[in-house]
Amino acid sequence: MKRNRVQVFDIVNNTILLLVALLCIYPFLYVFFVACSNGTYLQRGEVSFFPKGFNLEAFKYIIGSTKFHVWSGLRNSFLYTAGGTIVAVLVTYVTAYALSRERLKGRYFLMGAFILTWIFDAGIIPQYIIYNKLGFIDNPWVMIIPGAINTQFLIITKTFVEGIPKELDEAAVVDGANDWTILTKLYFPLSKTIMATIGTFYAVSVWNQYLIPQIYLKTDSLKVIQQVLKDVVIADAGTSTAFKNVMINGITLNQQNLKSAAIFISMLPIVLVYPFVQKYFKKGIMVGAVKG
Amino acid sequence: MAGKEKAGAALASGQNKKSASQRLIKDIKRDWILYLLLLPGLLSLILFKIGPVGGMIIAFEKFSAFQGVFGSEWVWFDNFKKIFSDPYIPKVVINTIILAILTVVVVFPIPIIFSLFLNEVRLKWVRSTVQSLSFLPYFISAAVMVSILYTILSPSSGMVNNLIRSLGGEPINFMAKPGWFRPLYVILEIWQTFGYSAVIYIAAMMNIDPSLYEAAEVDGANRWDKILRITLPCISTSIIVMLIISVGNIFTVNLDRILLMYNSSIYDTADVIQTYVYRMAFESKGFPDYSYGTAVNILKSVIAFVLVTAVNKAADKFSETRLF
Amino acid sequence: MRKKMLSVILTAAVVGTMVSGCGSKAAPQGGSGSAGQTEAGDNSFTMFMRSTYVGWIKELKWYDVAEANTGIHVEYVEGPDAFSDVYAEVDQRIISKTLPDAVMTKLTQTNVYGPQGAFVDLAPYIKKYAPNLQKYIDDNPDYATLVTDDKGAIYGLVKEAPVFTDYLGYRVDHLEKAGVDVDSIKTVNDFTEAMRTLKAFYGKDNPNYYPLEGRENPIRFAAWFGCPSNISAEESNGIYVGHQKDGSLDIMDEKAYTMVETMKTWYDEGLINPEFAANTRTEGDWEAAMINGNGTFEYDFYNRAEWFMANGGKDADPDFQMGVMNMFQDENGNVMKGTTGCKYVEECVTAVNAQCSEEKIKTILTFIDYFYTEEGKILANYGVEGESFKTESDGSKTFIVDYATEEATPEGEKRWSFLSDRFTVCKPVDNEAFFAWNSPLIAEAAERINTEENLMKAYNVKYTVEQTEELSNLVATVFDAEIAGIVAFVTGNKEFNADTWKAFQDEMNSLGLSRIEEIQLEAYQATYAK
Repeated sequence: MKRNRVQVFDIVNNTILLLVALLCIYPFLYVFFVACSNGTYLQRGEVSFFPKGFNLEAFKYIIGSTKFHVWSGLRNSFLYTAGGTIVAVLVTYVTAYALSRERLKGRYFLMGAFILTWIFDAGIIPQYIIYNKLGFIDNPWVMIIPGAINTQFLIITKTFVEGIPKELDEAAVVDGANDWTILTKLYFPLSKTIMATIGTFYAVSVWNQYLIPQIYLKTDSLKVIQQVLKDVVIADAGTSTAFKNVMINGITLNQQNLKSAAIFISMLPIVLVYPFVQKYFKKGIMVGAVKG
Repeated sequence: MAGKEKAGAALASGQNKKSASQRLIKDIKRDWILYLLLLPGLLSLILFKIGPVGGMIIAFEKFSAFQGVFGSEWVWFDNFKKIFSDPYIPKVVINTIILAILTVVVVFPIPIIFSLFLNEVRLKWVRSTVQSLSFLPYFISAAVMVSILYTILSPSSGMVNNLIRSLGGEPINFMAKPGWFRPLYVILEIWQTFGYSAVIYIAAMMNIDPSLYEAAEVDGANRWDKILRITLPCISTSIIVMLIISVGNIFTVNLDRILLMYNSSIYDTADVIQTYVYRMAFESKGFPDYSYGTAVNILKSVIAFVLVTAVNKAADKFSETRLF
Repeated sequence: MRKKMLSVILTAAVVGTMVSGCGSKAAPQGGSGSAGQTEAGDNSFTMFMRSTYVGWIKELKWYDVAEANTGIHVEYVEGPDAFSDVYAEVDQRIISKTLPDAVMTKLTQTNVYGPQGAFVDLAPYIKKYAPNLQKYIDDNPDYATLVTDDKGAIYGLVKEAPVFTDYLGYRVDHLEKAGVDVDSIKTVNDFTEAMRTLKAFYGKDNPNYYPLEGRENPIRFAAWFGCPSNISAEESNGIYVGHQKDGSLDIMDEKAYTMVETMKTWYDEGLINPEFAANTRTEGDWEAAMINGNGTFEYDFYNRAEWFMANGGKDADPDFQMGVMNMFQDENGNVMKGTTGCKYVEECVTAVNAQCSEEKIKTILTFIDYFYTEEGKILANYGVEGESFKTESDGSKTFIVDYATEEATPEGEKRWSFLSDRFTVCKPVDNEAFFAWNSPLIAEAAERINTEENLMKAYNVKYTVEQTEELSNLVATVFDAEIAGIVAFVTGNKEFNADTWKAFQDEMNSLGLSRIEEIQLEAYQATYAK
């Protein structure tokens, strides 16, 4: 009797939760269905749970056309993400290492400065004035250099580095090692997980950036995919960037097809790497949020 | 080695300033690799974090794009005075706070309920599938999320309006109705963050001592009793900390999302302090007013700073968990 | 030792990346974004311009001839597409010191940034290097007043434009099929009735059908109701500066109340596209809707009716036929005059970067001056003799290339085109050539509509630096607020009645509308004092 009730609860609970999960990703699936359906069915509102008149012409069309900058946007986003992540992980880790050494003068002061500037938001305008002086306007390095240290990740990394037993490097010092050898030979190998964790977070944040490129990157050929998406899907103004209905190989592609294809393409990289880096995401949240 | 350090420091403090700096130079000479390693971080701190704080002086100027920070006219507190006579300020402040309160009140309980139920799932594959899928939207950019929203809600071809039409209703232009902005913003917030927050609660639930449940079972407690009497109280610390954090972030809105969602017909509900500042500087149809925008932002930052610091103290007191 | 060296190299590399990021300000970034100024003396210059305009220039055959004849090449730096973004980028290029040699900007910006030292005072150089332009300035005192500041400096050159109003285009075939006689539509009330008939006829099968289609700003009907913004020696009503033609509206006029009331009726009965009424309709969606038969009327740029014919209308529906309606009349049979743009376009101003050498300024002015010579005027308005036009025995010129064929060439291809309403280069306009270069549909409409009794005259008004700054910031706020307020009334987001309307008027005045009117009046009186 009791056993039965438990089972009913389990079935209902499992089903509802699976439905909630499905609901979470359904919009992504819907965008895919629309992108690869024939435009004529779309116009009649016949596409909701499966693609109808399956074809991949919309993807080919927007990737192939230089007019919409989808391809250059993807390329730029990849380059900025790769560059930005490598620089950020190295700079963050090395800074965390330096700040965790007791020999470093003024390390509390420096850490305090990091934290203060983190919680006190100077705002986008003063930032713009300074970055402008540093030559970052319409300069792709703006996606790579200024974001090299995220204070939150710096704290996480520093906590981790401080957790590495001091006896290890004291032994190394006795063997004649300097900071560089200790860092590269001793600390790097011990810190692969933390580096992968902050690396995935940095990568996602660079990839998803919208405000910074929108303010600083003005030339079409330098824009990132998120800006391109705004131009072709959300703003959709002006004759030169707006999608028009086209016929390719007898398949109608309407604005909706093309917009959906653009959306899907821009989230695809994240969706593809997600299963492999998921565990780092979770780890990152744990160390970042629950220290108590 | 640590002992030597201390002795050195004590010695340095006893001497005059000049020898303290000499001492630093000596230190740098000895540990030059370490200081070299610090250099990128130091530059980053000075240029990208402290620099903008210094840039805030333009709030006291009548900053002209051409004349620059040092060539512009000095006006002291004029820009701050203007804040109090600007008829727009009350509107954007109220919008910011309403949005933040909605986010706390509506969004906050959802991941708790979700994780309580997820915790009851015994099938491993269900558990991991549900968790993975619900967590995914957190990593999708605001541009993609809002684009999807536009596609689904399009008055002429979107799924929702197709449904409304087939039910005999009039299509609704969701993105142009001020009344729809807040619900849509909150829905996106839930969609994007509940899986993320759930990870934290689930982690807290994993730490609960299983013997508590066993003892309860012996006492004849059913599933609901266990959820309400054991699980919930055991994660209450996490809940309260998370609540305190969200209260501290009351002035932090998802700027990307709003910038992508709003348009002039929904400024009534969608315009917040940050978007107002953004427009003044980067989308102004007149002359960009960098100085006034900075002044408005400074006022916001000061209030937010006080709030966050206070909240951090509260969190520390409550559970010895600090944000920084 | 080797290890130490390694550490130095790695650290230096990390630092190096950061420093190179900071230091690469002057280095061109590739693409069209490289805003570096060209070397002096090589007979070329760089110019920042709205991307749409650059696209047009690249398609013009006569433009290539002009570059060949002058031996001067212009390297265009493409700006954004949307107007407000273009000027915002000029602001940003000024602050980041990345202005090319020359820039297309607006008069308010040259008025303010010029005296601060961002732009060259062209007056002495025009005397020296541009005799034909100098003659044009001398011959047109209104032009001289507009571009010269109180110290006699010229920081920007405005462009001359043909004067016309928006046309109300309609689907001739739609009206015929629905049984509406176009000649019976005389007043706005007749128009509303006609739209009701059309809605009943086409709307019953097509849920996406709305008789009145449009894009962007729906505040474009004030002239139909007799409440556009205006200016004279006695009074100035509504936002006039920058809105002599588009977005013209005087909300203090009691007829504005009727306008909102009527638009609300259109909205409630589904006569106007709801996205258009809500100010969220994009150009692409609007074009698609008109071509696909989801709309019958459009009130937009004068030659749009022809555009729909040439860009897919006929393919979508073999019966597709556009026409242009007459101006509306009021109840007493008086014509409701249409708003027009000014003779000089203050939004398309050519200015020269103050960093330019005299040699460079000379090159830029020589190029502009060419379009003020007789040869240059003929080239830009008629093209090349024997290729695009011929001279009749009486000395008049006629085109020998066909408008429809030339304008229908695919985007990006070279063609003969003389649409002088477009900004391509700073040059004078030959109105005769402008209206001669049109399809029969538009040429006929132009002849019928472009008469003095149909058009309101628009005035260029000269503002001082202080007025410019105050006005442009006030207008930016108030104009958006006006649109947002009216849209809210029309779409029912805000209750509409005499009280709420009064409150709205008061709110606009407190935001600065009354101050705007004050400045406009002062400036008008100063400009036209003589």
